[in-house]
Amino acid sequence: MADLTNTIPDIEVAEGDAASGARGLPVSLLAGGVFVLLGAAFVIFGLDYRLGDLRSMGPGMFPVAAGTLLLLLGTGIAVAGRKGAERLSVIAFRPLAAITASVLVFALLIERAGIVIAAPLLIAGVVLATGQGSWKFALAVGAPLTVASVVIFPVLLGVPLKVLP
Amino acid sequence: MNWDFGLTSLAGGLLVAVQPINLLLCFVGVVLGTLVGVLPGIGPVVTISLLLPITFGMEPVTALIMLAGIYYGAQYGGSTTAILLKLPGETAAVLTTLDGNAMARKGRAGAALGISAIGSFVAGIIGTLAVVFMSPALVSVALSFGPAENVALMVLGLVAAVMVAQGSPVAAVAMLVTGLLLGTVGTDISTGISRYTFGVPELLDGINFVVVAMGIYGFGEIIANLESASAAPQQKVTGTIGSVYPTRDDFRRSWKAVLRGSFIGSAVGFLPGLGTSAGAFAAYTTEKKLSKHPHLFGTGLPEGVAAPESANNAAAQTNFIPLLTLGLPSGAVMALMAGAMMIHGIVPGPQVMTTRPELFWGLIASMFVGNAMLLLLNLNLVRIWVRVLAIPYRVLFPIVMLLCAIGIYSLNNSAFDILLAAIFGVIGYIFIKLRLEPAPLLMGFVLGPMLEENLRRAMQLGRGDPMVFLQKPISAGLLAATAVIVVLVIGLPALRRWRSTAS
Repeated sequence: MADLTNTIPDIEVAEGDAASGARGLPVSLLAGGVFVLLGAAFVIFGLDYRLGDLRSMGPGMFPVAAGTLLLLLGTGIAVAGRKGAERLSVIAFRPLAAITASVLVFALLIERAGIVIAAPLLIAGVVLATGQGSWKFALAVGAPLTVASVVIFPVLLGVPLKVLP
Repeated sequence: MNWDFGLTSLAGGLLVAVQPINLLLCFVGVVLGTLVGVLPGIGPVVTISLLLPITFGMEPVTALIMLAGIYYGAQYGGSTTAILLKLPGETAAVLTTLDGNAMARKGRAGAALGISAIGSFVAGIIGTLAVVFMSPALVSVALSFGPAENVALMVLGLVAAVMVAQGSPVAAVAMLVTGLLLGTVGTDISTGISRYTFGVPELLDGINFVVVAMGIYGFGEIIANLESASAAPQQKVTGTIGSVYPTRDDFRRSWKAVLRGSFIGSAVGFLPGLGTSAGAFAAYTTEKKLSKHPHLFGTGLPEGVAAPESANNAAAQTNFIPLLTLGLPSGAVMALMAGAMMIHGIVPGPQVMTTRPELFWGLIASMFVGNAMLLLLNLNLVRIWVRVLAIPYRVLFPIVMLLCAIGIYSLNNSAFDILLAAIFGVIGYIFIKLRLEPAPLLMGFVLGPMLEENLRRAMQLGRGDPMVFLQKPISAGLLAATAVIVVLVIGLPALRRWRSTAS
């Protein structure tokens, strides 16, 4: 089952970057590295909590044990995959930054300025900064969406959402 | 207490399922499910996360009926996109793209849609019957479990679920452990000590699983989709639809495929980790092997649509068995369902059937009702679903973004949750780039606290001796089964390599 998609003939898998020919580090080496870092972080900070003993496990025991396991698994993945054929393809920094920044701005504004400011900014941000459309397009999508979100969430569903600044 | 088994209990459940509010929300669920199934850019995980906050005020059974409807409704919708666009609307519809789209190119799109809807309906009913008949037996076994057996069961369920999934099995286990670790963030239930909160008060209650799910499956996937979306032109719907009612010849050719697909799908869906895609794949290959003309598969055979579509719908129903009877989610959607149950104050596990029979049987009975609704919806409203397909992604993704942002905020009226989801969006994108499947993380995250609690109790009862897990026969058996699976999954590919070099 592990290579299910590979055994199915004549199907384009929607992974646009697979053939882009970019040559980065092997993905399995990087994945292993991520797990090693995560495991190490949970172990290091977890040692601050009481470990206890096996008979009465303290708050630190489970995360430190799981963190150690993750560290070992990550090391194994990195070592086994250090020469893996699949390389990291180009990171799409533009959508990554645009989506993340727009969501962060929304988070900062939702309680201060309300939905009528936060929603259009989110839409404008994700449409313009990702290069998916013009100002006109952002307005055409954003205006009805803002109205709809005010009507649906605070009015119809009674979600306590700040509407106006 | 006639709730305990079989059909009388189901009849009681049916009374719950046909209450007007439950009928209405079942309908809402299956319509939304079909809709997101049709749309390639958005799946049931995001939709269920989005709707979860709205269910807070509902009865638990009503909430679960709606959320479940989204999941199996999406299986129906996914086939529409597969047939008309040769794109799987849901991953499980991959195999339907072969013969389904070939039929559409021959001008028989309607017949393909009809076969798929009818096959899905029959399979949904058979799959749900499997849930009805298998659940009481599993529950009666699992009810006697103590902490040690629970730990062994969770280990078996989680390991089996992640190891047979796509991608590298070791990486999947690592993702599972990452999920377990993320689940420890917040106040430790047993000692009241806050772990990994770094002085952030919002983290004291832990990270909400909806935040994780929406961040990874919502924001993360949008970022990945935008990476390639600008290059992909808008797809054109294939040909005319025609009549959705299959001909007598279509029926003759596909009824066996529907039944075989239903049984294969039911069996595969019940096994942890083997989701709907694996069921569809197994059914398609079986049908091809049994056929007198296997070389014609892919050229638009009705049985080539019937088999995978039946299998993925049957599997979508039996996927619920491990969750409802043992409390084990077998994938990302079931992890969300488990989380939804917990939010409504129900601990997923064998006790649900005995302590909340109206919920257990009401949910199962609603699946019959929901499948009947889906049959009518998919036969009669095909033209509406086709229009939905015409919505371009650049209109769709801002809508999903806004709904996610508002949905996350409304969970706890917390702007911090949105920040957290943005971080999980970045993490989710990194996972996609590193080819790491996020479902095991979500499963580990949801089950983590339960696993830790049971582990602590088991070790306490065993006086600190880890042998306690091997001294009890059931827990020893479950752990042995886990070991067998690990050996098979890691060992089989090696064996296959050895065989191919030997021949």
